[in-house]
Amino acid sequence: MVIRMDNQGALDEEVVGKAFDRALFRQLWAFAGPHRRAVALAFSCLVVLFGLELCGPWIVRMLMDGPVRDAVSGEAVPDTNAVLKLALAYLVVVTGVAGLRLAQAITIARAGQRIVLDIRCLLFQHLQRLGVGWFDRHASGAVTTRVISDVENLNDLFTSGVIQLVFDLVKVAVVIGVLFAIHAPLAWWVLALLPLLAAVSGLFRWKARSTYRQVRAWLARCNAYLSEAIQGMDVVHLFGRERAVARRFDRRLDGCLEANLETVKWFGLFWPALDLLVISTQACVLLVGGQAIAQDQLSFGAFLQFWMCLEFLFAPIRELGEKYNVLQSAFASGERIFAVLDAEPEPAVPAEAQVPEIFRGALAIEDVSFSYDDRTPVLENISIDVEPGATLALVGATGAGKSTLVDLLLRLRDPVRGRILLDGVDLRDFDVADLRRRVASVPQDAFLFADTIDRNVDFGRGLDAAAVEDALAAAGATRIAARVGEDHLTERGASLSTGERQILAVARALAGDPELVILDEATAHMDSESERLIQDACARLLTGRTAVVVAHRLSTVQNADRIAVLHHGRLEESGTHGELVAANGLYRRLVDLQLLSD
Amino acid sequence: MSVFRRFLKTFLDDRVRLGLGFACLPFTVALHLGIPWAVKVAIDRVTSGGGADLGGVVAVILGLGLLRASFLLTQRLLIVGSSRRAEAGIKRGLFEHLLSLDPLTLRRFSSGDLLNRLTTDVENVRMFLGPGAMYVASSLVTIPFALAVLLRTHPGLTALLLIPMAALATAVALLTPRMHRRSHAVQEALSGMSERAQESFAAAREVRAFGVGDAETSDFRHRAGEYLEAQVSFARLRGASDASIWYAKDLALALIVGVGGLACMNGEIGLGDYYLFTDYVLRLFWPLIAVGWIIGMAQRARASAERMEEIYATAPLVSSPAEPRLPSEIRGRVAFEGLVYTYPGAAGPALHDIRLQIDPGERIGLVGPVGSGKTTLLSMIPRLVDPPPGSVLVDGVPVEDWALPTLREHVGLVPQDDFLFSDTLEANVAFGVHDGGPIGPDGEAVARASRRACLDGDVERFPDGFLTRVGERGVTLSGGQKSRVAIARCLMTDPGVLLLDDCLSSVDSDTEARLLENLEKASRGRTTLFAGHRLASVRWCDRIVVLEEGRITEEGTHSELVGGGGWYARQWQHQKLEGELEQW
Repeated sequence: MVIRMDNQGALDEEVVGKAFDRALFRQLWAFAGPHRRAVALAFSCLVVLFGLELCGPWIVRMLMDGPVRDAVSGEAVPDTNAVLKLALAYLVVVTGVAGLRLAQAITIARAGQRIVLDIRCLLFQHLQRLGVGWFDRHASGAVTTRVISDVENLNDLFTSGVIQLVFDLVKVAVVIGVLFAIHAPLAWWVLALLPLLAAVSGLFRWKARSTYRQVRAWLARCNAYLSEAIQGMDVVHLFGRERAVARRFDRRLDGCLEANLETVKWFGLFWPALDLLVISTQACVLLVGGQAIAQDQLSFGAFLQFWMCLEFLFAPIRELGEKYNVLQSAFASGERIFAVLDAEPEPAVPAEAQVPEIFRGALAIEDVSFSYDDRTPVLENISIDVEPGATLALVGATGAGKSTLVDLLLRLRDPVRGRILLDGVDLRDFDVADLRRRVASVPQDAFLFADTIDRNVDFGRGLDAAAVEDALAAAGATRIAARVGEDHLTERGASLSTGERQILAVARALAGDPELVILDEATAHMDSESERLIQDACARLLTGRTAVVVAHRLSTVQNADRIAVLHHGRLEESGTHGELVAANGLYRRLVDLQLLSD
Repeated sequence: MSVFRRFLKTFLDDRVRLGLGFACLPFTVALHLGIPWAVKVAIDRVTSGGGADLGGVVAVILGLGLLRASFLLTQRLLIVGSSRRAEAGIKRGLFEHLLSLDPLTLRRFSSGDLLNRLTTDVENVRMFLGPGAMYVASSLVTIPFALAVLLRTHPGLTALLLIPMAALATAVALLTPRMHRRSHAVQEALSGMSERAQESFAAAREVRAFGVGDAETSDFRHRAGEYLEAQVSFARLRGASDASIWYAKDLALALIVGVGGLACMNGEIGLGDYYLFTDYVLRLFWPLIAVGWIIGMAQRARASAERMEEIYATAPLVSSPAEPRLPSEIRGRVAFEGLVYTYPGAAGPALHDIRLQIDPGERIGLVGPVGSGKTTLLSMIPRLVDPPPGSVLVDGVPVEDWALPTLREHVGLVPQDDFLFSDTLEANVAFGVHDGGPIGPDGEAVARASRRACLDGDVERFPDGFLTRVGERGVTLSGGQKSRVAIARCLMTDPGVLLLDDCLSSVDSDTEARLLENLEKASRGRTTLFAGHRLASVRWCDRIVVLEEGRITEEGTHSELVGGGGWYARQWQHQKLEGELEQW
């Protein structure tokens, strides 16, 4: 499988895989299980529909070989009633056909979408159980493609793919049977010519696929250059390269045009060629059938029925190659979906969850080491104790390991060595949901959703409206909430200032009434008013709770019960502000630099 | 139709092919309708006891079939082919207009929106004016011709058949825009659902920290459910549309069974005529759908054409003067004469009363806090952003009076955001002087510029050397490498005025020292403005200018400023401490 980036940066996988994979099909088909009645209903609609369709030519035959022949040959008086009865029968049949067609289309679309909804939600749910480490390795855009496009491709497998393909084959077989029943010598001719028709159709699909691939590749190149040139227009203008860039775009346009013309050529060739083959088959039927009619071996009505049934043969053969493409891309998508479903959930769920005997909020970090790649250590032998209700300030330069330690405290990752205890229980032994309730995080730049303020604070935890209200008040966010009202925030909360976003993050943490708070102070420059508001909010959050604060403000570290200075993944110094200043070490330098913030 | 005028003209550039293609059309139609006529003749002969020898008629049918195939092939190749050529022409025209727009004007459109206009909108117009026109023309020949034949055969039956046919065309014309709307709703629901998913994956950390994965799932399920509803409602309409199209055709056939059957029985028409009616109904079927489809499509094509015209209606803010002035001598003197600049729509000015005279060959260090206006100041000189008339001069001539290409040839700017094209390293370095393809004799110049930008060591380590491809926006390179490619690209054009906008921020400290040494050499004899973040990197400049909140607050040499007690002195202390910490 070749993977390349298309113009929008989304992953677009060129499909060159198998068109049918039995094991994969069985796995996928299992998803259809709960909806098998709808699928069966759609399938039976198809069967009845086809049966009714076959009635049409049969009625025409009865008309021709009945009242028309009798009247024309003078064997009987014209029987208007008989003709009208047949016309009425025809009307009933085609009305039934129309109704079934509608019912079938809606049933199968709904069934397909329901199956796809199940797969999509299952996949999404599974993704929610994968850890942040997995998301570090997979770009969120590519993951979204799995949940959206790949799942959508499966829809075709269930709706137009397998069912239709199986049914088309049945249809061809039945029609051939009908043709033989009408007049075997004539049917033999058709049977002899049919493989030629299928071969031309197949050959074309094969060719069309490769030319289409070319068109798509060139179009992607063209669009990629276009978007690149638009984004790099400053550079183009700076160097006065408008002409050169136009020429380069032109070359890609030409490539695209060339590939398009190739497709036009193949389509231009295919339809007339297939048409000619159909005409030849019909000519053959006419020649042989005409003789049979003249020799009274075949009635005109039967001939007309035969002729009309031929059309039922041509349609599936024309579309045969189409189905192949659908199946191929559906199986490729299926494979990618299962690759995600096979990923192990993180963090691992303990075999037997433990609950602390007393809840006090005592935190102990014992000899913890961590590495992302098993080679470069990010944290080495860190040991820190935090008394219940105390505040620990983490300081250190960029890359010292503060954020990684925060991840471990939040159990977003597990230490490679050592352990972290909350109230005497290893974080790994907690029931994950229980742990999440006890520990709250306030990240530097909280991710806000394009939703209301209340729902952003509640954050799907189903808290009381009163708790949300109180948290907003305690965090000093009442003014923001009043301003925004019931409106949705813009994407990522971009309509709010950094300070306002942080205040909402504090409210979000407060709302859950956590035991332990992990706070990452914002480094962004803020005016003194928002600075004061945030400090007040944080102070309220920390009161009476154990807290670990990644500190960037001098006032925060001065107020902390204890300060841990990290440097290159090691605990360089620890103590109170006074002790550390007196020690005249790294902390002293950091303080001189106002803890590195501008 | 007036919105289509420009695009029609592009189509007519290919008028010979287009004309020939449309000339094939009546023949294709005549043969298309002629074949069933031949079948009818054969049927009439065998059923009236005229003998079983159909050899002649069958040969005629095969001959007509072959002719029809050739005409159809030629017609499609010519018309669809020239619509593809027109498509390329339209895209070329639009792109050239985009190239004439200055960056500030261009930013009025988002890049995704522009891409849409140049792809989806162009395709809509192409479908309408190309294949659309072909199908309509073909229908306009087929429908009257077939109806005339049928009318001669049995006027009553033909008149009755008009009812389902008209109903069919009307249904398609009415349903097509509705289907567009529902398919649009499907797209909306789809993007709502994808945005929700993307949001949840981007917030993976928070979602886990708060343990709200299940809530996320149920919220996503809700979005996915909305998408399902949109899809099902679209499927309902499409199902109804398909079913009614087929039903209209089947009703016509039912009419033929009844009325045609009676006519046959009463001897008004022959058996061959009956066959002709059934066959022609099928052959009228597609042209009628096509007409309805094109009518339904017109609205969308029109909106697309309007969106494309909007691009043409956008005029650049920066352009070359009608009568450019050239300085008597190009030496590289730069002057700011009380420059005040406010970005369109901004509350206050980004630059206040900037007065600065820079002698030819003088090298100025430009420092100041983030957002103090350094980038804006630099971008005024090559007119990426247009200054008020007369406030920025190069060699005594206001920049807006220079011929734009000459000015930009003379002034080289290395922007802060080092944009690279997804091409080879070589092509990126040679971007300013080379048109792509093999570099040839410029190779030596590329190597020289790269050495000056301290890029040579990195290039040697790449497997394909200068032919290494750098990926989209240069993703395969490190930040420092990208900056150095951008520097080499600028030095390659040998500019008299060299502007470097904070181009060292992502270069590591070892390389920085070497690069500064090289830049010092490379900038000799060039007027240079070097905007920087680290003060140590501007020490070598002849003069240092401090910019704070859009105003010049300090000016002098490094040692003067360090003793000055202003922002520069404070910042110098701060950065010294930072340096110490790095060495800890």
